Amino acid sequence: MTARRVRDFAARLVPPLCAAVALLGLWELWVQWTHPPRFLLCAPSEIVRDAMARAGELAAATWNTAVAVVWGFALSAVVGIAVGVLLSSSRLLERALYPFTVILQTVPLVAIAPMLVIWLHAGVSAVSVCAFIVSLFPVITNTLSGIRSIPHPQVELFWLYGARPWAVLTKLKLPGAVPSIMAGLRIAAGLAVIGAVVGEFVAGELGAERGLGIVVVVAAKQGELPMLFAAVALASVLGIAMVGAVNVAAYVLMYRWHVSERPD
Amino acid sequence: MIKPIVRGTAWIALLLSVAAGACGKGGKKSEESTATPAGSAGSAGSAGGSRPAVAVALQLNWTPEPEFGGFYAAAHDHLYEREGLAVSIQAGGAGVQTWKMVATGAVPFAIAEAGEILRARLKDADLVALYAVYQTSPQALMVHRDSGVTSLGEIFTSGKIKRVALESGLPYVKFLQKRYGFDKVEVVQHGGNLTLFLNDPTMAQQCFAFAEPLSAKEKGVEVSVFPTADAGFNPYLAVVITSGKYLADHRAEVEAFVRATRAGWKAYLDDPRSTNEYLKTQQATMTVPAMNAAADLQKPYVVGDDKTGYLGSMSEVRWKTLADQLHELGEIDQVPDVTKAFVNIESK
Repeated sequence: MTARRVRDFAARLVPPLCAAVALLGLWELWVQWTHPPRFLLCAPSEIVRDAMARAGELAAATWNTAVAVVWGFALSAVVGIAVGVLLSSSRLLERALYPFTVILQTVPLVAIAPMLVIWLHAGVSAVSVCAFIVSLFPVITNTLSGIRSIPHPQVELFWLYGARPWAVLTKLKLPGAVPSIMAGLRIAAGLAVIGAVVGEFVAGELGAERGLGIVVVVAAKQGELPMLFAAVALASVLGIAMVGAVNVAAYVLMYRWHVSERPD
Repeated sequence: MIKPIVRGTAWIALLLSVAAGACGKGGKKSEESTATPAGSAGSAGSAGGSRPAVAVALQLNWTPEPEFGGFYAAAHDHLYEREGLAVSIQAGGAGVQTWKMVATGAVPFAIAEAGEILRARLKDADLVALYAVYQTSPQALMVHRDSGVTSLGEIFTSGKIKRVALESGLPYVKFLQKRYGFDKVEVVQHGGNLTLFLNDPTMAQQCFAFAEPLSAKEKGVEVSVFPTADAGFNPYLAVVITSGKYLADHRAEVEAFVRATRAGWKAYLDDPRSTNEYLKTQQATMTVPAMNAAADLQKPYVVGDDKTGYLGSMSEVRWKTLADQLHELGEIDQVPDVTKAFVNIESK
């Protein structure tokens, strides 16, 4: 079983890796061949070289952004699931409050980030809140939809056996909503990275707490394309790591019973 | 096997032709003719006469304000038209990288700052500086007057200031960091407005010595201003750039543009009021009285200390000093040949 799982994992890993190597190879050859102006395009080898030369700075920036992403995501997971559960408890509550959660999705982060700097401190704390705001909505909406999707006969069966509302929630509704909640968390994991990086554009700190967003702004302003690409690549890695972590959690929670986590 | 390659090549050729079209826009535009309004082209000027005006664009790196007063004066007073040019001044904003627009040929002229120009030249962008509006850099930091801060250094070292808003990526930020250190203050992103600063008396913010302090005063906050030039970092700011190629191919237009620009700045220094009224119609955010006051305050920065030079002229020594400073700060990895970075076009 384990050997099969390793084979499956390798089979899933090899195609994207081959595609990445081929694309990077083509990119490198294109730059070596055409020599575009350095302010327009750089080669992958230059990105690696500059990233290695400034590895310490990039590592610190990645760490700062990662801390903000994890805080923001954790907060949106806890608050999002709690709000989803709350809204699912009453149709009236849902009708009254759900439209306001939509505002979260449409709020222009760049406009409120300066306010966050006033209320909190610039850097990780304000940036975490940016990540939280951006990633909250999918968790709320997926939790709500997951709980609402529990077949009513199942709920009635619980009632028939005299289950209290708390038991219905913890033994039926929440476990039943886990696949939907996990889908929301997967979206939120990627959004938290975007929220943190964009938040740093406005609410970032330029000193010790500088994150990948500041590296992106500085590199863009200075025409340092290799650093710009390196920072964007690291932000992508951060996003992949976050989604990967949610996938692991989903597997642990659902592999025994849910069809989505069963091997093919 | 051949077919896909041919098809791929065709796609690349198509993309390149589109890119070339976009890049060639500025140059092409300059060859297009636009009718000159009656009563202006025929009046005087070296390139005027009965020839149709040559259309060129000037891309600003910020919104219309007295920083660009001379350009608007030249447009408003028909000075560009008298030189045979139909200049469209395009407003910029945060994040607009004007030098890239010039380097790719999207516009023939733009405003940039000297540090950007040196850095971009090392990245294969063939830029040439033509006219420096500010002979002395007006870049400064301002604090609330009642903060008790009396020097630039005190902002970072005294503990009286808790938070400093600076625009990351600008060379003077690194200069300040190296000189004073950022350990005792929280350095935050400059958002391009005064919201944070006005609400926090322990905050310092970057500014142009004659612009934001006036806006702060209008909102009831008295400030003290400390120019970074006094600390030894004094690059040319608001510099007109073009590309080496455009200069080589359109020397006459470039010279005409600089001549009219210089005349515009002379007019603006003499009397900025009518131009400021015009600026207000061009979506300037400052009020007209504030712009009149700013125009007055910016005069010493435009004229500079060197009274022997003419408006907008640049010196090799200043460019070399800046290149050395940027190299020392690690902003550029080599000291370039600065003589190729600028051209002084003298007035006749």
